[in-house]
Formats: sequence, structure tokens, C-alpha cells
Amino acid sequence: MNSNANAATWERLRESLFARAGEPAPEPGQRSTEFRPVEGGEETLSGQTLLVEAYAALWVVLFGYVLFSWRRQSRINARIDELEKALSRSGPK
Amino acid sequence: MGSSSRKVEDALFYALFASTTLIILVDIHWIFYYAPIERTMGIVQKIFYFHVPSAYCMYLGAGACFLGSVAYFVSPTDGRDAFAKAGAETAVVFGIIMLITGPLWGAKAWGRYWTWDPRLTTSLLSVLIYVAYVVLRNFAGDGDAEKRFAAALGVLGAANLPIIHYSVQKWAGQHPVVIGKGGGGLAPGMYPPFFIALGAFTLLTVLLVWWRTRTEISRARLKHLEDDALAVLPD
Repeated sequence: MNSNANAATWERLRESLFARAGEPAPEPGQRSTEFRPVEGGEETLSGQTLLVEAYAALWVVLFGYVLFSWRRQSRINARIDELEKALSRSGPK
Repeated sequence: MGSSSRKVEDALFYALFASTTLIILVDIHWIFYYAPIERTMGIVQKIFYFHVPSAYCMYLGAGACFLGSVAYFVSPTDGRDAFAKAGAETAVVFGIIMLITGPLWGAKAWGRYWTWDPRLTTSLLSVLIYVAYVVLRNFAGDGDAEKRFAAALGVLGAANLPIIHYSVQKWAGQHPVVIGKGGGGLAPGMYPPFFIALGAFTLLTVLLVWWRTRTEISRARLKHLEDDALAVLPD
């Protein structure tokens, strides 16, 4: 089953690679020299996608900053704990 | 600060946090369900409702940095330094949001993400100034000289803010002028979500500056305590 699927994949790859191998190369004059948009075609940038990206960016930046600040706060708390332990060790028994 | 006043401050902070969250949720609902879709740009114009408040909050953060820096020069205290630092960080956060959302809107409205328009260029410059401030404060140590240098940057950085504001009036460019002098205004249905967004972002800025100022004051107090403890502890 698996070897059949591999053979089929290999066959498709071989066809796509060598199907036009015997054809002559295009003349230099036939090459594309400019890119033009399709007349009346759909726009490639969706306003909805851009809006969602902008909202996502807003929340990623805000949450990233809150997370960063939270970690700083945690480090300060850890240092306070260490200081308390050091003081209690050196205090009166 | 006493224990009771700290409890009052904590209660105020959490009340402000809850109010800000509620207002943001109301505003998102209003923007997407009630605010009209703009005629020529379509739905992407709704980026406006948080792009402009972000720019405004960058000004607020920069203003806090300016005030904290000036106050630090007058009389250096940990609280004033912390306020300036918190303001600069908030300016960077909202400046980054502004610089991401603006080009995404521009991609649709202008057909390009970026143009060296006077307002865009001066805004980028301002964000870079506050990024420099934050980098300086995080990597150059906590000495008095570093704090004074940062305070000078905080004062000088504010000089660019009026230039950003008046750049659209003084020089030609692509950045729209809709609200204020020379602008044609918004459709009536666009004002409520816009003003709610301004209010929500203002509260968010106050929250962030407050939180970071408190954290930085705690850090400074802890450092003094550690220095004192090192002097008295046996090892």
C-alpha cells in the first residue's frame, strides 16, 4: 500500500519534471518583459484580513508587554523572598 | 506608605482595571456591530478606532516621561525616575501598535505599507527615541549618571511631539487629516466608538503607567534594602 503510494508520487514528480524536457526553449522575444494586473480582477489585499491582523497585533503587543512586566514583578518578588530568608537566618535565634 | 493606604490603592487599581476591560469590550462591540463602514476604504477603516487612540496614548506616555524627567532634574527621587521610565515604556508599546496598525491600514488605503510622509517619519523617529530611552535604562545600569542622562533624553524626546502633530499642517503628505483643523470630520455614527476608544485607551495608559511605576519603585526600594542588608549581614 505504502510502496504503491510512493511509486505514484514518484511518477507524478517524474512527469512534472520531464514532461516538457524535449520542447525547445522559448525565443528571447517571447519572455515576459512587464507585469500587468488583471483588468477588473479582485483585489489581492483583503480589508478584512488586514483588519484582523491589526487587531491581532494590538493584542499581541499589549499582552507581550503585560507578560514582560509580570515577569519583572515575579523576579522582584523572588528577590524579596531571598532577602527575607537571609534576614531570618541572621536574626536572633 | 501605610497598610491601609496600600489597600485603598490596590482597590482603586483593580477597579480601574475592571472598568477599562468593560469599556474595551463595549467599544469592540460598538465598532463591529454599530459603527458604519466607510464608503471608499471599506471595513479596513475600522483600524482607525485603535490606530488614532494608540498614537494619542504614545503622546500620553511620552508626556509622562517628560514630566517625570523634568521632576527628576528638579529633585531626584526614585518615584519620579520610575514615573519617567514607565511613561517611556508605555510610549514605546503604543508607538509600536501605531506603527503596525498604520501600515496595515495604508496597504489598503494607499496601496503601500509605508511612505516617507512627514507624519509617519516623525512618528517613527519619536518611537525610536523612546526605544533608545528604554534600552538605555535596561542595559546601562542604575547609577545616578545613567538616570540623569535618561532624564535628559526624556526631556529632549518630547520636543519631537509637537513636530509630529503639526507636520500634517506644515508639510505636504499623504497622512489623512480628518479630525481637528482642516479635517472634514467623521460620520455621526463614527464618533461614539471613537470617543469610547479614546477613553478606554486613556484608562489603559493610566493603568500601565501606574503598574510599571509601582513595580519600579518596589525594585528601587528592594535594591536599597539589599544594599543595607549586605552591609549588616555576616555573609
